[in-house]
Amino acid sequence: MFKTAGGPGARSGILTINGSELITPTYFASTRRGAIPHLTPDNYPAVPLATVYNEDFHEALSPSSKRSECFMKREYLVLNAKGVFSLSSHHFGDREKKVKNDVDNNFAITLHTMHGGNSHPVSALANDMVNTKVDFVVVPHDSASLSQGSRIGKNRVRKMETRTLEWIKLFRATVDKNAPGTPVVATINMELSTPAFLSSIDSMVDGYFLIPSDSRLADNVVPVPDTTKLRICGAKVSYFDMLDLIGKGIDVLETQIDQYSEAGVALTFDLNCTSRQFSIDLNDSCYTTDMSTLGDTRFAKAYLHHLLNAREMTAQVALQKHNLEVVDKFFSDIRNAIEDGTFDTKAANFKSHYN
Amino acid sequence: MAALTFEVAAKCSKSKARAATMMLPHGPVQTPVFMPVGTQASLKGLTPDQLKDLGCEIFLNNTYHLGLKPGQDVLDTVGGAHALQHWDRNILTDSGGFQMVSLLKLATITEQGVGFLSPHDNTPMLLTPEHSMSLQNSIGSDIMMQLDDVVATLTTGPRVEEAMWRSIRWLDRCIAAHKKPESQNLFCIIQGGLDPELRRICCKEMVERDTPGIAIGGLSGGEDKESYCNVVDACTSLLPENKPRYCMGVGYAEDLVVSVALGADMFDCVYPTRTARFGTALTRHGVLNVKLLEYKNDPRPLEDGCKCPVCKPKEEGGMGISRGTIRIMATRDTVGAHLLTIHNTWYQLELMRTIRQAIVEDRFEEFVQTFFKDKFGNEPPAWARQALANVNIRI
Repeated sequence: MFKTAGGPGARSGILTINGSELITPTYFASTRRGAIPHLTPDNYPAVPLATVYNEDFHEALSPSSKRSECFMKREYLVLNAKGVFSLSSHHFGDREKKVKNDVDNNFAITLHTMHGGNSHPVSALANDMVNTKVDFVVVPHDSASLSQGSRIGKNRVRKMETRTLEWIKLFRATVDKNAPGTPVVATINMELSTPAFLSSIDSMVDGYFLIPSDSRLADNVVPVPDTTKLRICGAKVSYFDMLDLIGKGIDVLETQIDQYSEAGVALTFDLNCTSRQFSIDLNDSCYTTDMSTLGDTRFAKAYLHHLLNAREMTAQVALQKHNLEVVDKFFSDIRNAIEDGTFDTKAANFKSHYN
Repeated sequence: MAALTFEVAAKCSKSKARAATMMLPHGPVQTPVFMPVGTQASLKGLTPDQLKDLGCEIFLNNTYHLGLKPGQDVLDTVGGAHALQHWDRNILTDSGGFQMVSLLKLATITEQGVGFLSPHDNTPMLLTPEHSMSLQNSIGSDIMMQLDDVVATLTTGPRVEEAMWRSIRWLDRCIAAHKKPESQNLFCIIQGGLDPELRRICCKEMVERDTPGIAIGGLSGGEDKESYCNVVDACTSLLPENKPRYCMGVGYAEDLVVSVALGADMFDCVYPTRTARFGTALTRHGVLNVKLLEYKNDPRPLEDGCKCPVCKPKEEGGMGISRGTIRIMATRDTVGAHLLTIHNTWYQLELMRTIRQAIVEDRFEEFVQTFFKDKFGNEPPAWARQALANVNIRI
């Protein structure tokens, strides 16, 4: 699945998906109901990777039922992506989509569907993910719901590890039975996972989906023992932190564009610092009559300002398209910088230039 | 001098349908044509390139909305609506009067113009024929509409005649105020309600003003279909052959087919794009409410054989998206709305292209028969049967 020369610091690698090769570091785009928000697939070049949330494809068994079933199929994705992997909102359950009574046990997991939070058998989730024929599956981990500043006890850590191990075994067995050859990636809590636990699962997985438990993300990024396996950052991080993480050996990161596009902000940065501003807010009245085009698009800034002002959906379409192109170039430049040995210098320049 | 030529390429040997090429400042428009509506200089979620890829040669912007946002000063500064939205094909704008009457409370009409309260600060405003022309000149639309006195279609009595004569007087003021006749075409609007005599008078008066094109207004406002067809039929018989005829506010497929048979060339409506946002797809067999549970896991495209970018299989360069897929997103995510907007806009444009081809090949009657058979089986609506029979087409 993944090959890299490894070593300390930023690394390049080759991720093989569906027989085609993706050079890392690269990014994945998040989706809503199988589509990159606001973009129809004819509107952007193929992204390297996209993630799909199984819960987006859950439907209540009956109008009054709290129980739901997954009906996702690969062909339901309205995506232009070279590779697709599945996630569950449970990966982020303790941070973003917390619901009351969000309690897991060894055999059931709380999913956050459009019908509300409900308990779902882990075996069913494994089957759902594997049967959707994604390019690799990411096993959810057992996570603790912590209030800010609180600490987690040793017993709870042990329990989380035991449970996560069982779930990895279950997913591995499901994959081997129903979709042999499909890579399995383990979700790891970067701060809480012990070296012994990581060693115990290493032979069963093809990569790691790294979730931080606090904001000290960059400092906790390398407890993963096997440096030649794929490392995906599962946290939403800034573009500055992305460079730190890549500098510590992360191979795949989530692009952060939706929140910018939806707020009317166009990203304008690039790794080589050829632009003055990190981003521009097209809601600003200074763009009312600015007919210069935004980046490589054919959209005049005045037009985008008008669309935002008029609350036209085309504004988000245009901005999302543009922002995706900026991020794509950012990662392309990162790969080139690693190749020619200038990554550390350019990353430092980037931070001082835009910060 | 008009910035428009209109050449009839073919006529149906039975009905009044005709195929023509209308040359406008931003390129040719093949008629009969349906013009999608991009109210605020945007066709709901589609980029100008996507609209162009659908084969759209002309679409609408609304003067009232553009007058508010981005405003006339901005339009003057940036060089008009074409430059603003990077659209190098044609634009038609309405006069702004219809929105005032339909959207705004307390709109009052006097000989001077349409009075209304500003939606920004409730201050009294007045849209006059001169102001409407000035706004449309700033927008730079290829076809601009006169300000007319709009009354509800079902209105009867002296108010209808008053509105008709006032529309004629306002046309004269629009012609006088129009600053760019060499690059923008002003269309008059026939009024007169459902009264054939008023319509006849209005046609005569307005034809005498010799505008580059002529619209039939005051319809699609809740009147019965027979009345609608009678007015269109009567008007097209009185209008010159060498000018485009624009039936305003018409968008249902069967209305388009019948209206073409009655001799109309141009149509517009928000229906295909608005209904897309409600999760409805247009097909030759009728509308498809894609949100319904019955389409869960349905692998078929919205319409079998449809060549729109959404339905066309991936192997043929399309997106190859199924009903089951769109059902997941329809009315929940903007992508669902965009996909249905692309499909519905294509459906309307392709319907008109198919109609045109049938006219050129003089098999329009056959097309009409197939169209109604596909959509209504053996029971076409009585109004359509009657209207088509009046122009020698049997369904």
